[in-house]
Formats: sequence, C-alpha cells, structure tokens
Amino acid sequence: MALQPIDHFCETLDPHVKKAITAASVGSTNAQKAILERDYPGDKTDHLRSLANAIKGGDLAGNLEKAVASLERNGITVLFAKDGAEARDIIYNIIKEREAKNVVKIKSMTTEEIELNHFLQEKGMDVVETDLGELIIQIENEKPSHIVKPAIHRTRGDIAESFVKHNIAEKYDDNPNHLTLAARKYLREKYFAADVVVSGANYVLAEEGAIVLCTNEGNSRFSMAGAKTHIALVGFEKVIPSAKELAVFLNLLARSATGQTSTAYTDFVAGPGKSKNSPKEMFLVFLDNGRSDILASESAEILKCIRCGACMNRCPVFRLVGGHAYRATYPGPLGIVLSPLLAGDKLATLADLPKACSLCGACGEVCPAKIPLPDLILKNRDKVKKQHIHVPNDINFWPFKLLATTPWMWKSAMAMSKAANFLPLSWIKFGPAGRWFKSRTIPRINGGNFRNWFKKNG
Amino acid sequence: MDKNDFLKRVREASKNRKVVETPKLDCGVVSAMLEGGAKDAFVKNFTSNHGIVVEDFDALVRVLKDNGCKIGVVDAKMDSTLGLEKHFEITREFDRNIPDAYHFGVSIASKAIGESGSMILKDKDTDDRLTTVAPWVHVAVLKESDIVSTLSDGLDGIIDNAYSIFIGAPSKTSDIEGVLVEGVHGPGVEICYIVK
Repeated sequence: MALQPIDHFCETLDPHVKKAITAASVGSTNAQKAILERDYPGDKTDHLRSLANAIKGGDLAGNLEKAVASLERNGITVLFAKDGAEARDIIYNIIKEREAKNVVKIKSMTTEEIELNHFLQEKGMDVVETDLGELIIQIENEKPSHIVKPAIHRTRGDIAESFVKHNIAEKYDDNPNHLTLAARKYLREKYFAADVVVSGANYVLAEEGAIVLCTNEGNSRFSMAGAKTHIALVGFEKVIPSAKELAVFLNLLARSATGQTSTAYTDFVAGPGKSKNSPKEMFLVFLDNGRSDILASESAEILKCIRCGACMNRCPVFRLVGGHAYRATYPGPLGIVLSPLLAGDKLATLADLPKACSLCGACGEVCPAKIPLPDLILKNRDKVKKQHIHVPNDINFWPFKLLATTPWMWKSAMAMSKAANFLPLSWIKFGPAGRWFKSRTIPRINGGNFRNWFKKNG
Repeated sequence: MDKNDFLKRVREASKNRKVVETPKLDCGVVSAMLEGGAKDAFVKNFTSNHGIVVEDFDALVRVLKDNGCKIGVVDAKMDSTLGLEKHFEITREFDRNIPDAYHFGVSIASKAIGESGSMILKDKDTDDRLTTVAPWVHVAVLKESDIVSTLSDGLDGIIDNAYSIFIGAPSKTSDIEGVLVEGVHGPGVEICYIVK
C-alpha cells in the first residue's frame, strides 16, 4: 500500500545508516546543550539567542544597501540575481570571460540551492568541492543529507569504495585517517590548478563591506590562496550590521552546529587579495530566489536562520528518516519551513513536508536565533490546506476531530484508553492505521486517572 | 537583475515588517571561557583545541624536530628567520611548484583572542598565504602584548585589510563517521610561538 513520501524513506533507509544518523544527531544535540550550559550558564544562553534574533530582526533592507556600497568601496564587483537561473548565468559568464575551466568550491548551501555544480559541469568545467563531506557526496552525484554534515549518511566502507572508483585512493582502505589523507593529496592538485574559487558566505558585514566564512577544514583559506578569481554567492538575508554584532553569531554558530567553542577557521574577505597567492579579483552575487517573497510574508522569521543544523539534529523525525527524505536542499525543520517557501509554484511537490513533524517543539527550543520553527511549520500546514493542495495518502483526521470535540465520546475513550496497551496494534495491516503502525509504535498509556484525582482533591 | 530593482524589491518586501532596533551588546556575549585573563584564556582555549603553545625558542625547535621537520619557509614579512636556519633548512619564498617540499611554515600572528582561543593572521602582515596553509606544520609568531580578551576585542578593526583569518585549531574534519582527523587540507599541527 502506498505511503507518504517521507514514510518511504523511513522504511527503506539502511538500518546502519539510520543508526549512524541518529547517533550523530543525538551526539550533536548533547554537545550543543553541554557547551552552552558550560559557557553561558543560567539565562545567558537565552540572552545570547535573544540578541541574535534581535540583530537579525533589524533593518535588513537598509543594511543591504549599506553593504552594497561598502563592498563596492572595497573593490568588490557586486551583482544581483533574482533567481537561481540568473545566478548560474552570472557565475558562468564570469568564469567563461576568463577562459577558465578549473573551479574549486567552498561548501555553500546557497550554491546547492541553485544546483550550480551540475550547471557548470554541463558547460564543460571541472568543478570540485573542497569540503571533505561535500566531495564525498559530489563524486557519487548525491545531494547533502545534512547542512553541516553533508555525508552523514555515508559509511567509511562506502567512502573507501567510492574513493577507489573515482581515483582518489589507489586501493580500498576504510580507515578515516587514511581516507582523509587521500583526499588531502587529491585536493592539493585541485587547489593549485584552480582558476576560480566559488564560495557562499556565513555573514556579510554591512558597515565594513566584507564576507565571513566559517570552516573547520581550512579549505576556504587554501582555495583563496590557489585561485585567481573569487566569486561569492550569497542570499541577501546574510547581511548583518557590522563586525561588532558578529561576536554574537560566532559565539553561537560553532557551539550550536558541532559543540565547539568556535570553528577552526573564520575568514574575513574584504576585497581582492593583496598577498602573493590570493584572488586578485572578487565578485559577490546577491541572490533573491524567493527570499523577498518570504521577507514580505508571515514566515519572514526563517530568514534569520544561521544554518547551524541544530534543529535537524534535535528533530525526532529527521533522526529516523535522514536528510534525503526532505527531497530539497534544506532538510529537517528548517527544510519543512524553507523548502516549500522557496519552491514557489512547485509547492505541491513538497506539500507533505509540513506534516512530517510531531509538533514536539524541540527545534524551536534549540534554535540559536530563536526562530519560532513550530509556528512556522503550522503556517505552512495552513498554507497547504488553504490552497487545497492534495497530499498523497494523507491521513484523514475527522474521526479524531469528532472524538476530541464530543465530550461524552472523549470521556469514554479516556476511560477505555488503557485497553490499547493490550491491543496488538502492529497486527493491523490495512488502511491508514496499517500504514501508520508499519513504521511507528505508540508509547504505553499510563495516565487516565487525573479526572478521578481532581474530583477528590480539586 | 539591475541593482536598483533588486534593492527596491527588498525595500518593498520589508515595508510592513516591524524593524527591531539593534540591541546594545552587553556581557551576554562574553563566555565563561575568559577565566584567568587574556593570555591564560588564550593558552587554555587554543591548546584545548589541539593547538600547541610554546614560549621559548628551544621548545619551538624541539616541537618542530619532534614533528619530523627539516625544511621550512619563513614568510618574507617576518623581520628575521628567528635563528631557525641554525637547525633547519630555511627559505624565504614559497614555491607553489613544490608545495609539499616544505615541512613547516612560519608567519606573523597579528593578534590573538583569549575568549575564543584564536590567532588572527592578516594579509597586511603576511607575504604569502600559502606559507601558512600548505605545510603540515604552521608556526605563528605572536607578541604577548597582542593578545586581547574578548571576541569583540578581536573583531575590533578586523577589516583593516583585504583579508584576515581567525585560526583556532589544526585543519580538521569529522566528516567520515564522526571520527576527528586533523590535517585535512592545511596544517595538521598548529603552533603559536609567544614572544615578549
């Protein structure tokens, strides 16, 4: 019997991969909690999150205008793209005008969003992702399954086989140290052969006219030492007022993403390089691609996202299905909100995503920018309903609605609820309940005594 | 898309949005990582991320030798080679045709930050970025008086040249099953040599 798309991913995901995703996600959530409690005890964490939310809630349009002027003043050519197609053309033309072929990439979800790699490769260019996780998935023609840990779904054995197949390693060896060293050797050649480096940006500093890149691998610095031209593709929501405010985000980003105090490398690029081996020209392409529509909508808060991945690490659904189940660039709670909004008139293809949520609210609690993700997910549900978009194999909730709005039925159901503990629910193989219990269980029901207690003590 | 059209579009989209005034940044931005003053905090936080701190020349030579170093490149912006030529083969120019020929690179750290345990390298104090990123071992020479306390102090004036970087640890990844591996692209050993 057909399932909702996300159920299909849950069912077909390799148990080892599912275990790995769950372990990595739980580990990251625990690390985030521990480091924030250690470094920002009491209400300091909440204060920091409030600051991040408030800074991102500032005059974005004004800061963008200021950023453009500052970036241009620093010798950066600033260009503008209304959508992915225009951004791809702009970037391609810059590369083509320089008769360049070799492109190295610094991890960027925005370039993933516009599917830049495929586009440039189809035009005959050699495009290489330099972040190890991105390289691992690029050579197998996959999409990232997590915004911070793109290859979270790949085992060391998969990677070892893949490295041999793509001539990155000479022979099969699944030791992570050896695999990483093989990638180091392979990428060195790419860095020195590169004509162009393409990056995104974690932040744009409006007052100073600079972009900020946060990495652990240092591939950003190496890429910007080898290539002659630097092109940065940036969603305009990445603009913040100045370097002064950046401290708030740097303190939150690494702690929320990987449980570190800071990323190993933070690059500040404010124009063409002056040192010997550095890009001598720099372009920054600001991308809209639906962002201005989101900014004008009731879901504008999602533009405050700092792409740390904490929401997906904490999400009980993501932990079971992995990132590919969301079928778009951004997975997890972030993806449930952002992907349908960015999809525009293709909303129907992702209309099931807002329902891939238990409404537990945990994503909102861990978000370092204090984005009310559960509220935004509900807004997307509402949007799907109001637009009468059909969600395949959606479960009809009218029986529950009848139960919950008819007092005598509700009371009777509560009185009999413990009987459910003895029902062989997993034996149900047909209809919506059959589909539901195929991949889910319900917790043991222990309650039901509150009314009696309240009658005696209330 | 035309610049003015793009900016107008964003301005229009923001029209009905309640703008929050940028808040004053207070003590909430300073973490407990700053205990013990700027230098102590830097040493503690940098070494906790597997950075190595040395404070005398003999210790520096020892660490380099322990890491198998024989040939090094000292960035041309450095006033001197620190006397390293007595112990190692030293060159002042990084030749990108033989990037793996150098076991270590030495350059200037413009500042360091206690709170985050990061060194700051700036292009204005660096002749060649490759000296700092290509060899397996990188040594940044830092004046003790250039260590500042907070991240905010470190960010003050950060854009006074075209390119700056915070370095807080060796180049690292845990992209393969979460296993930490150092030296993925750049230095696998990151040393801060603090001088008076």
